[in-house]
Amino acid sequence: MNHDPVDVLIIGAGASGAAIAWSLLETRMRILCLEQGDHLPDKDFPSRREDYELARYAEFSCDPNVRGLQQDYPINADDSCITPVNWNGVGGSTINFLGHWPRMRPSDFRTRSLDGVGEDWPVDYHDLAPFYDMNDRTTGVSGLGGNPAYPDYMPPHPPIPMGKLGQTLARGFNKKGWHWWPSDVAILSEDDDGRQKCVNAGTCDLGCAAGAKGGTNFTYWPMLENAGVELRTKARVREILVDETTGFATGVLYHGADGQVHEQKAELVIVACNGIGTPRLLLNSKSNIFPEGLANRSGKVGKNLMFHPLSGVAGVFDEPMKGHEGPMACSILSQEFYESDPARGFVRGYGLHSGRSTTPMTYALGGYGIDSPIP
Amino acid sequence: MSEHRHINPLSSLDAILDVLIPANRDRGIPAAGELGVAAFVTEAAARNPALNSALVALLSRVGELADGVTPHTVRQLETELPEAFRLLLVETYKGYYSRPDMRAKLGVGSHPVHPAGYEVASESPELLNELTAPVRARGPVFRDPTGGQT
Repeated sequence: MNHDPVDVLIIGAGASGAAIAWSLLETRMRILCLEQGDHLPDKDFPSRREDYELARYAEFSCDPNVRGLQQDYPINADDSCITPVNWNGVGGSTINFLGHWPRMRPSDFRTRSLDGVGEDWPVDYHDLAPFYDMNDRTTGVSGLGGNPAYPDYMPPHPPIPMGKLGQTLARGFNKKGWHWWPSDVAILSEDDDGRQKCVNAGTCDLGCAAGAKGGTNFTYWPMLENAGVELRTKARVREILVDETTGFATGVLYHGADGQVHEQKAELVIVACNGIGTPRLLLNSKSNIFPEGLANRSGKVGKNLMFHPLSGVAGVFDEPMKGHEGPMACSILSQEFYESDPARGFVRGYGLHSGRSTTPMTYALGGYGIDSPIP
Repeated sequence: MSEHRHINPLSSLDAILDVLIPANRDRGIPAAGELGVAAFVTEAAARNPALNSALVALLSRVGELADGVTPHTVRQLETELPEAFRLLLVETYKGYYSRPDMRAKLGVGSHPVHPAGYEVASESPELLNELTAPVRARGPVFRDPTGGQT
């Protein structure tokens, strides 16, 4: 294997790593991405098996502690009420994400000014909107324009079917006088650029065998590899190396597919290993001049992680809703309670995101991502 | 499980499973034990020491109960050995409901969901227009501190 120095070394082939590589393509620099997992072969998508649901509680669990695959690393969540959700491999967590694709709203960029919490961003929604549009096109986003919860924009593909369940919920929200809108989704409602439209399998969390879901394994990475970006899989980075005189990163040490430790030099090292993997690697990268790990003078690396938390409520209808037919977590989104309302006694808000139903087994086990069987 | 001299472990397990998911003859739905879910559970237990210990504990306790396996004694197992019972329940649900034939009986396709998936019709523009009309009628529901200016 060629370990000649590269211009840019990206660690992690998930959403961020892919986007960074794409943004640097025109520079013609030599770009290498090291990914601890591998490509997901077509035959390994569980949805091609009759007992596909069992994979949700085993080798395709969204929880790496349950999967325990060779490319996973254990995450101690004993003191947390939140279970991590990720995937280690080409595509990263876009392999098992559910395709829900809401944009941030203008007020999200000014939480300090508007609500006195967090920090204002150095850019605003309108600065970012052209990049949302660009990414939506590459990812293949479906949705309905004219959503009054946002400044006007038009998703590149028409909305996916809401189905009987979504229509029923929409009528319910209308009765309440609450906002709702068909969800923006990173799921194709029509064939596009060699990718097949959604077949409504209802197994988005098990990887999309149709390629309809916009995982970067189907969107960015094929394009990037064709353009000459080298993607080296089964390459787990152990630590980032630094020049002890300048303090600059000079490369990495990684465990390769051959089980050996290799050194890879680079002019620029980019860490794109998600909210847990990135601090993990920074903390593992100790040296004489950075004894507490990289970027950790504050001692805050690996602390105060802010996830995007999700809690769920299930409802039972008195007639079949066929909710297992369609993208499992994407139907409609209500942002009625998104903005701050002083009457509620707290600032900021939340979205009410309607998924669909699951199959009988997952329902009996408590619902998606829940380990609490119905008594 | 060979230490349970007074019971037949497999028939006891079948009986417990039949209580956990009973048959519904009117709908042609078999009970879990009758369907052979015990084989799925015991195979899982062979790979999972915690589940295996749970099975041993549950079947051992059944052997001590004079009434054998009844809905009442199964409830007793749930109360006395809650974690073991939970592990058995999870595996029972997996073994029963993941079967393609049972999915079909419950209104879900028996086929692998790729490549065929399901046919779901898109809403027509007219229906989308009708459904979203009340939402659009309210006008914008967001704060834009820039006033929409870039």
